[in-house]
Amino acid sequence: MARIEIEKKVLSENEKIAARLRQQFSSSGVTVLNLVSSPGSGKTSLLERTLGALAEVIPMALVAGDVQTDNDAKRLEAAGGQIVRPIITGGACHLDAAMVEKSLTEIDLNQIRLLFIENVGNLVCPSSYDLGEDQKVVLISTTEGDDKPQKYPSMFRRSSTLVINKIDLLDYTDFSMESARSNALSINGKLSVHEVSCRTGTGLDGWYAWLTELVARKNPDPKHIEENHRL
Amino acid sequence: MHELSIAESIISTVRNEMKLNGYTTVSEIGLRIGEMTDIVEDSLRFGLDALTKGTSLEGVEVKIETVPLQGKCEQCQREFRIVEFKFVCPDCQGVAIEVILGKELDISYLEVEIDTTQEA
Repeated sequence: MARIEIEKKVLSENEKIAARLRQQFSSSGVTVLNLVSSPGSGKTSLLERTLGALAEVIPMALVAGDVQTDNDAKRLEAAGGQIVRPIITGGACHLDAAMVEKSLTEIDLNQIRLLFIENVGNLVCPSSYDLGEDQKVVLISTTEGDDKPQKYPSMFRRSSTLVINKIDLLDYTDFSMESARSNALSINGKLSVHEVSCRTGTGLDGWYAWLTELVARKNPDPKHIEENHRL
Repeated sequence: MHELSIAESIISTVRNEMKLNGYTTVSEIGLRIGEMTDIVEDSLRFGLDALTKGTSLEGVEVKIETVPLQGKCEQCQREFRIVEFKFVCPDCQGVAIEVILGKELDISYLEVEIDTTQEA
């Protein structure tokens, strides 16, 4: 018997594919957001709203992951999504980079500026899998506990932006906005926070402005996309 | 329950190493797992057992070294152990904290039997 030091990353295969995706996204100037939350926090609602407000201005594609059904993908198409790809994981609790790469084979990245990846509703497993995104956006809602960040610290740590949804229901729940914010910021002081209601539209203007700026920062030359559109 | 996917990745990496290097038997797998990976050790062991049952890796010993979360304050450079996921510098109360240890998810070593006939 001999001990062989191998020093291999368990997720090296995923990281290899994620690096390849990141390179493609970067050369096409596409901003990529990996949207994560518990089931029912409002990922699909946020995307429906975002499509309604920005689809005409920012050419975007959406990849919607679910354990079963393509219901979310259908909702996003109905909301005006021109390019929507469902990923049915068939049991897996997270998306991995290989699934995303496969779903992108028919998407021309030069035709879009923004790609949303709606992950499977789960605050644990998706945190370990890099999908080549620019950042993770984590969503919670006021009908959940304001201690969600404490319960799932890795996800809040690995995300760059926090969206707190359903603020129209604040009066009917015990959710404290102040606690939620301070809980999240004690885990990740660099989180930018948006408070929104996807039902009433409150706060969404700030979210749209933030998205628009993010997209412009990654690909500052709008001609890039216009030229590609002409091709 | 992504431990099953993680277990699959571990086993395929080990099998690959066996094939590439001509190891006939692997009796022990050494893992290094950071505190921030959300891996439940029991679930991972369950996954590894289930996936190796009836294969040449059945009964393989799995040793897990857990790496505690360690941060570095970007403001005052103090390095400290992060307890209960409080990412706040104990000295200057800064909240810009870089994680320097605790994200590991590595196979550090294998205890193997090498096929010497192949080398000769």
